Amino acid sequence: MKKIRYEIEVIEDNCTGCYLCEQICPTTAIEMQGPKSSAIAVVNNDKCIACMRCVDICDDDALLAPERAEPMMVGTDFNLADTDAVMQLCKDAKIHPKLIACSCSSTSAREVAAAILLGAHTMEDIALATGVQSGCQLYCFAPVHRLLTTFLGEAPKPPSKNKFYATSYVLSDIDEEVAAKYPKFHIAEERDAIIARLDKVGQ
Amino acid sequence: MASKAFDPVIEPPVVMHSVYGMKEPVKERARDIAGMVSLKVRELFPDIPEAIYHGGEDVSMIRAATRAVLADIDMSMIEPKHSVNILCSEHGFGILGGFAYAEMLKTVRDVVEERTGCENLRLVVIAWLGFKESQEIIDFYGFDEAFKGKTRGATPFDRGVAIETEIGKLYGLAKVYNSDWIIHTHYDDPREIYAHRVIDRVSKPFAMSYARFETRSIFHTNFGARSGNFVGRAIANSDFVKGKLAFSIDMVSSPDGILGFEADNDLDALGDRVTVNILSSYGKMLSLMSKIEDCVCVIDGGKWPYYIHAGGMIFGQMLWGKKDWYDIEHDDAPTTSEMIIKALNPAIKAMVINQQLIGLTIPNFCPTAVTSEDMAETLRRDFANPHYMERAKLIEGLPDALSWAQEKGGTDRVIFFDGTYGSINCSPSMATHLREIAPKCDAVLAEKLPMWLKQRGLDPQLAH
Repeated sequence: MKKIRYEIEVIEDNCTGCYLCEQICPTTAIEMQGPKSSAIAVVNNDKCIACMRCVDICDDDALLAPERAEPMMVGTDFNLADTDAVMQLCKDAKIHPKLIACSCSSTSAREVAAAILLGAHTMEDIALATGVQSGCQLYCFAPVHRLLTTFLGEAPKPPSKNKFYATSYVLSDIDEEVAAKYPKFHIAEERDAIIARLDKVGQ
Repeated sequence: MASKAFDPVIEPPVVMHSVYGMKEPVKERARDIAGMVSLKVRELFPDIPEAIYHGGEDVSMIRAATRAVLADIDMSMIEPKHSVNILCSEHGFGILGGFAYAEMLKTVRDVVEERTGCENLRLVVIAWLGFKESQEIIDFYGFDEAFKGKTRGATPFDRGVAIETEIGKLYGLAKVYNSDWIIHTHYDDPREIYAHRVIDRVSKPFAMSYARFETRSIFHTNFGARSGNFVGRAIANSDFVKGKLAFSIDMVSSPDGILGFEADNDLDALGDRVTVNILSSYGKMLSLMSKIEDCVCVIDGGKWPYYIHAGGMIFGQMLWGKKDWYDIEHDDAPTTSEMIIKALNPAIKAMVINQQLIGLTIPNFCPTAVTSEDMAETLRRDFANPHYMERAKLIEGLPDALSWAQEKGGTDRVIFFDGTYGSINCSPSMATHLREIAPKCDAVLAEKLPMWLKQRGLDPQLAH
């Protein structure tokens, strides 16, 4: 559960219509509106999880982050979803349900799985439902993408080109031969330990 | 007066202003706290290798040492018509103010041009996260002038390039690989040993700095505590990277400072030397950190808290100090996230945040004082630590904040993580304590170094 204290305000006079903020936003809260040659960023703050990436990427001082009148809480209680289904999705994805998928928002894998089962079927929807991707994004992408890919049966489509790439391997994806070739990485040992833990989930 | 038995506080490296830190420079540092002292790491452990560089802007010895080590490197693959990306990572600039790393980069450029006639040499400065970070570094170290305007920044969100590896398809940054050749510039400061475990440390940047955020995330979260390091190796071993890597250079360090440089056309050979140096040069100081009984830690540097040094040791090593991270055969959990919780150092009784950058999650587990409204407001806006200031207390002024932390923590032992190598700025009681516990660490290399080497497939005889 993450408390979102800030929202985004656009200074229209400063916006040059570069589209960078729209492209970087993890929840599609920013949309460029108007003719392409003179488009201006418009923010839907109900979808903003205050990752500040848009403010950071803007070179024109066109985006500010004032405090919200009331903080917005973002998160999914995993108890709201079917517990067996949550556990099964985690098992199928080979992601432990208690794994901290996102430390910036303190979101566990089971919360992500619950959000998916409750209807969040894109990376953007999951970010909005749980708060993942509201921080550094360098830890949470792979487990979230893995869980969603497992649920959908195919990799989710990014909302725009190069927004994200379909890659979220887990240790079980590595060939035995490759694992054996590099003993100092303890690939097989850790893979087996993770699977053994997953086997105990729900028991 | 116990403090007379120790050296005066040493001046820590300058802090580069950043939009990811405070608006104004801090007003007080360790030197402004009455009675603080410093203690040399080589007084504690005389066998720590002695540095040629301890900080400051006189980097003439760095240029000379870099030139010397490059003399034996084959650069014949680089032709005048080629393009070369010289790759560097942000943490190199966190070592002793970054001047040594910057000078190494400039020297590499000059030597490559002299030796090959190639002028299309571009410096690629890869940020941890922020979109403004790379340009701040390029400006601060004067890279545009040194590289004749051929500089560019890169972030993990920039366009990717698919790389076929033994794991599968992983993604590097197009800005890193869009040249005929790349030069991998490294530093062997062990830094986050709890993540890389000194397993193939030299290949880690291929999974971090040079990679897209998806690939970094696989390393961090989907793979295990040791196996995560295979991501970098898999990329480095790919035909794509092997076909571009001209050579690699490493800035060699010990807790005393910069020792010199190593370079090689063979990444694996360089990697073995890096591994031996990390295990041997830093082993005793790591053991020392784990044996501190109680303390207040002051964070006072221009990087993220984990990565700010005290006597060449980063705060992260102190924070997760209750485990021998060099031992890679006795893990009690498969993931780093589980192990670091168990390794949280209970000796840290309180903390003081004087200055730091934002953007990297850090636990708030003990009484914590923040010394200015400027720092507090910066932390309130930290997207990676959104609740941090709800638990930390704003106490204006380093002296008052430190007094509060000492009282809350019940200890007057204070250690400053302010970027120093060679010496630790600390309270006299901490200096006395370090002197007392240092002898208990003397045997660690004799007892463990052969095992650490063997676990990594290296000859235990290298310990001698």
